[in-house]
Amino acid sequence: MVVTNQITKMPGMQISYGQKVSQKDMLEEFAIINRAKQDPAQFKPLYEKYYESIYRFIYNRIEDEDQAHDITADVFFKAITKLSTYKYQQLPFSSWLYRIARNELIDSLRKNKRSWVVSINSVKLNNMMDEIEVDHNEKHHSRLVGLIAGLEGDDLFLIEMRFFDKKSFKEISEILSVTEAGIKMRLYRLLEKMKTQLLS
Amino acid sequence: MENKKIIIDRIEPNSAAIRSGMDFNKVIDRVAMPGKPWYTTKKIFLAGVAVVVIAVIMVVVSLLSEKTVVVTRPTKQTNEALKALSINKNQEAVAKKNNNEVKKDIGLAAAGAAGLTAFTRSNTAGNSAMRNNADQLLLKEYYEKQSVKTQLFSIDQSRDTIITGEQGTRLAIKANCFVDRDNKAVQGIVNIKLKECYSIDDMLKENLSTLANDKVLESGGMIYLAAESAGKELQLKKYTEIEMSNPSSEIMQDTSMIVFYGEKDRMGEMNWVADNYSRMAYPVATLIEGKYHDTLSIEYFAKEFRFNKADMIKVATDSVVMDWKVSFNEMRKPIGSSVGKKEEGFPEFMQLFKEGNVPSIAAASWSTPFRFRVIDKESYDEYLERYKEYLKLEDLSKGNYTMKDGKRVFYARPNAPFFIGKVGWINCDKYKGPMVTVNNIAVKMNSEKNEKVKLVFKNGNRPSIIKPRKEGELWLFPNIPIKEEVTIIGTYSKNGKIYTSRKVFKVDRMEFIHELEYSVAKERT
Repeated sequence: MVVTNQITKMPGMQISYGQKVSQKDMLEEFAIINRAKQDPAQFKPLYEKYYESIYRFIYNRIEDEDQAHDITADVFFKAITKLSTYKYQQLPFSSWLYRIARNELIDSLRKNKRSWVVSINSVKLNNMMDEIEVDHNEKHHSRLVGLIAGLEGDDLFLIEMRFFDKKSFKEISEILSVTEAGIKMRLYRLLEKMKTQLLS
Repeated sequence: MENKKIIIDRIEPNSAAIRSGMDFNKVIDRVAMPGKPWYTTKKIFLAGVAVVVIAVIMVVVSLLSEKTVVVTRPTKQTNEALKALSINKNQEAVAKKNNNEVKKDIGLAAAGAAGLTAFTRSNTAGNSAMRNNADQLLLKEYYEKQSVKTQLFSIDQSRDTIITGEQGTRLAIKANCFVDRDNKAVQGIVNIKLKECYSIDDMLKENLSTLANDKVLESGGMIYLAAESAGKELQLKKYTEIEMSNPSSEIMQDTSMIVFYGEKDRMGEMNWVADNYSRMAYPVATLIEGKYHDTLSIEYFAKEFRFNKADMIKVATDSVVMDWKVSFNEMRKPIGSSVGKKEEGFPEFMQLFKEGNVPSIAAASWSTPFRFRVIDKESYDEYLERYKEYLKLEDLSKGNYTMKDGKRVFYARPNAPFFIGKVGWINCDKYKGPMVTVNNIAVKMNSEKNEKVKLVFKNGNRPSIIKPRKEGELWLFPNIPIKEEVTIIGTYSKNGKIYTSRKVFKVDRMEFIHELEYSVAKERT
């Protein structure tokens, strides 16, 4: 028996992962980018559109609120000066900004020898526990926090992006410059490992 | 990330607070800093363009003047090759005996050694260009007339069909596999065009060669496949493949033979692009929990997981279980290990799938106890047999791979068909193995600019056809194995006539410059 593929969205369903940007919006963004390549002042609409989300992305990873503004400004400065290297990949422009933001964050924390902050939201942590099919209890909760704290580099980033920032696999693959299939496999293995450690 | 700090339920600033820190002017001022004007790059670019334009104008002006001198300088490599020429009398005798004409062209060698060959061209550029175009067209028409017979088949799109070509190519075409260029379904009769090229002559008639990005291939035969309906060109539906069987059982047994798709460049020369998984079918995605089983369409996996065929095959043969979870949204209760039995909800879940009402995985977060595992088709068939007795599931990830140095190496099963994913030129090929002792074969260029030269290996029934590269006044075929019997075939057109030449010889250790003797071509029947 073969099930044919007629995937449609159920009415009233919330989209939990991925940026809500239509194809039309993405093309409009692309037009703004092309104008901004000639005249950086034309970049303003994108700056205003994405400032908050980039700020929150950075804020959730550092302690100092003021520093978050500085780094956010650095991100947009770098984006404008590197616009010539941007290629339209049928993804929102934000994915490219997040990639710059991540790099700026790492550089800034390294230079200033500051701590990387992992901001964990309890509700989103519960979603993660559902994903890996473990019971919701205090013991699992605190163990999972500990496991997340023990992650390094791209593993930590992957968990944060997927469960706390609610990014789609495609967006994460664009930000980390890894194939989407590679991201899925990596996440799968990471979750399995964490589940084993949780339940042991 | 040596220093980490965990903060639970951190309070984020509100939008107003965040936006109060925005200052676009500050960013723009920084971009336009005096020390680093952003437009510096633009100015440099414009200056560069101006220099190039002036240079081009100067060249054009000089070329249009009456006296034109074109100087060609052979490359250093050619100079070395020419200096290394050594033809002794014995070799000459042997060469003549084997019908090889080797010319010890002292003049050419001397000129080559001096590094210059000069031509003078008078100002008849216009007439010359017209004549060249006419000759090119004539050559093109010559090839078209020589081309292999096109076989026509009409099939009913609504049924599975098997086509067998005159030379034994067998094509198993599934129902409804063709769509038009806009990916719309096509009904009714579809006309299939097929050309079969299994001999060197047929391949040469179609001006084909066996190079994949300059790597030499051994060919097990080439076909051309096209489909049309009501005058519209058709293509294969995505994720649908035609199963092709080669007339030679030896080729079918050789699992290193794979499909290469032909792409012609602007000059009409063929380059082949490999499909490394063309001896394996798309795997079947099936639910294998407990006593329930069902299959998902390949389109579902390809779309939802962005898997291409290579990914699916790798996943199917991964011994670590790739249990991609399919989940419901918040409208259904999240099902974890603490809730109910695993079989609960399955019939409703499958019903939703059949109705096409399951949301996109990338879009939602939900969970079920059901796990879908992608397995290769042969394992699935075996599983179906065992399923009938409701046996407990074992590891069904036994795919067609082997372990080498800790890595999986995928291989096709012998006699596996060739899975064709698109129409056009299709080649059953493999890369020619490493050559032990090789030599360079040089052929003196004819003065006609539209000359085409190729070198052919027979390889038994797996011919290789190679295009040369230009080295000054020579066509160079590099790295040809010695003791190999090869044929050099040349063609050009001039003043409304086609000239051809063939030269057969065994490749020797000594370097030779070969010269082709041309005669007016007779039309082949």
